[in-house]
Amino acid sequence: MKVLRKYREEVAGIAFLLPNIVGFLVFIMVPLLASFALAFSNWNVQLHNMFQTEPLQFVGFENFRRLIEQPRFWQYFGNTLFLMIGIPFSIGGSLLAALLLNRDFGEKNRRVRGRLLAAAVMGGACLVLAATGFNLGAIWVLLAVMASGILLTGVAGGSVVYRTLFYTPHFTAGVATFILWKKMYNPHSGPVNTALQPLLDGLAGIVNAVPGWLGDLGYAVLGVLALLVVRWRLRAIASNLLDRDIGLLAAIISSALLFLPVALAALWLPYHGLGPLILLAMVALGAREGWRLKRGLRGLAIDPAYRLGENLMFSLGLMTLAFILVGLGRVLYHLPAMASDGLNPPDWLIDYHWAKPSIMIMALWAAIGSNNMILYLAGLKNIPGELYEAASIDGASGLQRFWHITWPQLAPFTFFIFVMSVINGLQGGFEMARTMTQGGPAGATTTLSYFIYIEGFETGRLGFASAVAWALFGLVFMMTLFNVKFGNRYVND
Amino acid sequence: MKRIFLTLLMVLSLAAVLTWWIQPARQTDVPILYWVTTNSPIRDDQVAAFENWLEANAYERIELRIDASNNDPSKKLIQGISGVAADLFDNYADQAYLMQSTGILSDLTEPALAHGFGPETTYPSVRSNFMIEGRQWGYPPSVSVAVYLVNVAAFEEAGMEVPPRQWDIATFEEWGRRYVAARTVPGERQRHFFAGSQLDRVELSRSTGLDTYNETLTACVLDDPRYVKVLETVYRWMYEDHIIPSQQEESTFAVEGSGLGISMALFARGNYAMLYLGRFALVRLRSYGDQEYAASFPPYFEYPNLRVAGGNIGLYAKSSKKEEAYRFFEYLASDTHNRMIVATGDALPVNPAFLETEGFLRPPEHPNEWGVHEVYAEGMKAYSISRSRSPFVLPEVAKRIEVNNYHSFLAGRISAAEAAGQMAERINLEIERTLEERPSLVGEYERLVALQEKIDALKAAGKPIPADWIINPFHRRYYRDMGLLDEGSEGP
Repeated sequence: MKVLRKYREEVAGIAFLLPNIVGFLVFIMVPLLASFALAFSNWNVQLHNMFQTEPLQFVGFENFRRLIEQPRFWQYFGNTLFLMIGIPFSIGGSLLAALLLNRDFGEKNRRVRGRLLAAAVMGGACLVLAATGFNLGAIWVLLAVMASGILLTGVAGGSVVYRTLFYTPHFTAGVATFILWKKMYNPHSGPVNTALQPLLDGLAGIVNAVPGWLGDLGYAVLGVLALLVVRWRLRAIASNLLDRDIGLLAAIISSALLFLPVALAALWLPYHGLGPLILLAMVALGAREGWRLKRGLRGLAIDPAYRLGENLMFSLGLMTLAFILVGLGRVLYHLPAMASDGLNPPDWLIDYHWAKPSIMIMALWAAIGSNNMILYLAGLKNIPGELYEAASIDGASGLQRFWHITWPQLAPFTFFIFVMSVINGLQGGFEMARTMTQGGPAGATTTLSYFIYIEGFETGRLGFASAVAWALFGLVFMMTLFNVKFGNRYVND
Repeated sequence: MKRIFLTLLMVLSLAAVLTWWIQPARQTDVPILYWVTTNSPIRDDQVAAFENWLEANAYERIELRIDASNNDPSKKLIQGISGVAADLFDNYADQAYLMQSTGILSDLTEPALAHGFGPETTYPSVRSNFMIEGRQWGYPPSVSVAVYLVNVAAFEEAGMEVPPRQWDIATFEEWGRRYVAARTVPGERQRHFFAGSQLDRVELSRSTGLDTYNETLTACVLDDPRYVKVLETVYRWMYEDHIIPSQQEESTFAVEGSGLGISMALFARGNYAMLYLGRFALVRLRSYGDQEYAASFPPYFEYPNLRVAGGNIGLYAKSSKKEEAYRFFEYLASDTHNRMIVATGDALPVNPAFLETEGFLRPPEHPNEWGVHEVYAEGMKAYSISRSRSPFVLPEVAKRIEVNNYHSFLAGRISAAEAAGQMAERINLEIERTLEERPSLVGEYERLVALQEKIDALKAAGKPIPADWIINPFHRRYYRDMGLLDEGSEGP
């Protein structure tokens, strides 16, 4: 009894914690360890369950060998990576939303009056159009009314209303939003295509009216633009390297990433033989530049991975941008031929080539107003106002203030958000695939997490499914290590 | 704080006991049977009919409860292997094979003999849906084959006659092109199709003499020019002749609903002149009014055939209400239930004798359907063949591989030949994988492979094949109809 009295407080504390500890052990820790062990076993529900007597066998790395040999695994891994291309955009969108929401709404009368006027004009225009029987798509009317409503409620509630509205997608139930998006993507009756069709009709008219060589020109212009983006970034990397502001390894990896869109653009060129020539020229230029840098780097002693995280992230973002410019260029090149019979909006989820972009667009919508935005908002609040004041006194423009104060100050947040987004991207896609596409068409939207489900619960190979899950964990773990190794350093820098 | 904690603990414990106490099973002395199935008014009628049947036969009362929330295949599997599944559950198409292999189904062979719901009470072509390795693992509530339902008014609007009951591919295409030409306004989006997009690629393939698997079910043989021809034919119907809609075209119709519901609505309003479905569709089409319908068999290359569809009800191995479940199966085989299937139009009656009844062929309340039911009856009796399932690959896995490659072909990513090749290659890889995972199957597999070599030699020599050597139900029937089967030979 004495002992009990002595440890009374401890016993009470443990009793309070016990439900949580037991829950964690039973529902998380034990299944986690069990799934790790099962990844090395031949557990198959057909053979090993309470009704079967066949002994469970440990098969070593057999499941992992099969995994690597499975073409489906690589296809679904590719799908998962493809869907992650949208991450830089979602980060950009979250930052933009946070910058907008960080502004003080509703205090200055001029702004209030402006928003009231905008809402009145939009609402009035809708009424006039409806009254005069103008054949405007109902969706445009709906959008205008919604915009008016948002502006008006913003006047009443200020930034709190806007912040709540932006955050809404995050606390709306996933399945409900997926079903909603599925309806929105309906090729014929969905509001997305209803809104797009008049725009595409107009675009087709314009494209058919202008000479065809403009498409070629557009391709060339966007291609050159992509090259300029790459060149700008390469120059910045080279300059940073000489200034000892980046490690050699970080510079090489960040530069190599930028070559991918250029190589793709070259291979896509419609003029035979030109692509390899351009590639060859790029390699030659790269080698010459490398040689020049090597001479400049003599005597430098710097960690090769110095600022790898930051530069890698930035290069990935620019690589995506360059990819999009090249892709848009190709669209411009083919546009005259496509527009000759009129342009139709995509079939979204049921078209093999559009299914993944459809999901990316939806994920972008969900990600902009997510926790990322909240993190950025918190980050923005932490930036000392004196920095902006000093910059204003020095005559810095808004863009300069953003580029030299806001962006560097938010860098730790950006890095954290990027890493978390990549981890979520690797783990994600299950609910979307299950609800919207069943992984189709032709496996185009099957991600690794949905693959685990198929293997585990459709074919009953739980050992193999565990191996896929642990392979996925390996990828996520590598990302976390990357964060620990480079994220912290970058934050401290 | 400690008191609050303890109070909460007690409240929660009390709630748990209360929840257990007020369970439905504790509120009544009547045994309750849980049946995991679809939620439909017909199911409610069947429950009522079962309870009336018990009363009429002076049997003990049993309460049958529908559980529609656990009908997902994964749920049934997980609940089953966890020991908490419902007493009875539907197994659609090939699900029974997975369920049986896990051991969660009760062996009904002996009870079926005792209660009169054995395999002899239904069609030979249906038996493989619930007979696995010579034992009975379920019983069908109804059976089904699909034919083309014809919207007579749609053909009248096109200025055409009602299509023939039997047609080959060329005739089907010729009719289709004529129909589409008659109903499509030049310059406008096509709104009328000869048929909905539902079709059975296996039936088309079987009509060339080719099945998914070889005679011994040891290998997938879809890498065959005949299957390439099937894929190219479907593609031509969708993208060249536009006699059936592509998935994209189908989605352009502004119809609310999902899956078959959309197709049935489009068929009822004449956008599809024909729809390839089972008899159950008639029940749902009745809600669109008394339109006049006819029916045609699906087109064929050389050999007309239909594939048996529908599922069966299995009994959970750990069910504590087995005797009550046997009573329910007895009811399913009874005249009462068969008459009910005849009256409601829910697929086809389990007992073949009921196909001949006047009530089935000419339901008095629906004269607009006369003529349709007899096509289903003829199809079931004359052309139906069991599905073929290899014991070395799960049907669901094989299906996913086939569908993925088919969609890749339709999306233009691979050619028909590549699609057929990849289907065979990947399904055969799955067979290899199953053998690696289940060494106990290797002996049987090797025996069958050796047998297959003998079959191939006989085929090459143009000699008849002993019936006992053939496991694939399609080949057995096909070779018999073609006069290539040696019925008298001793088996291996």
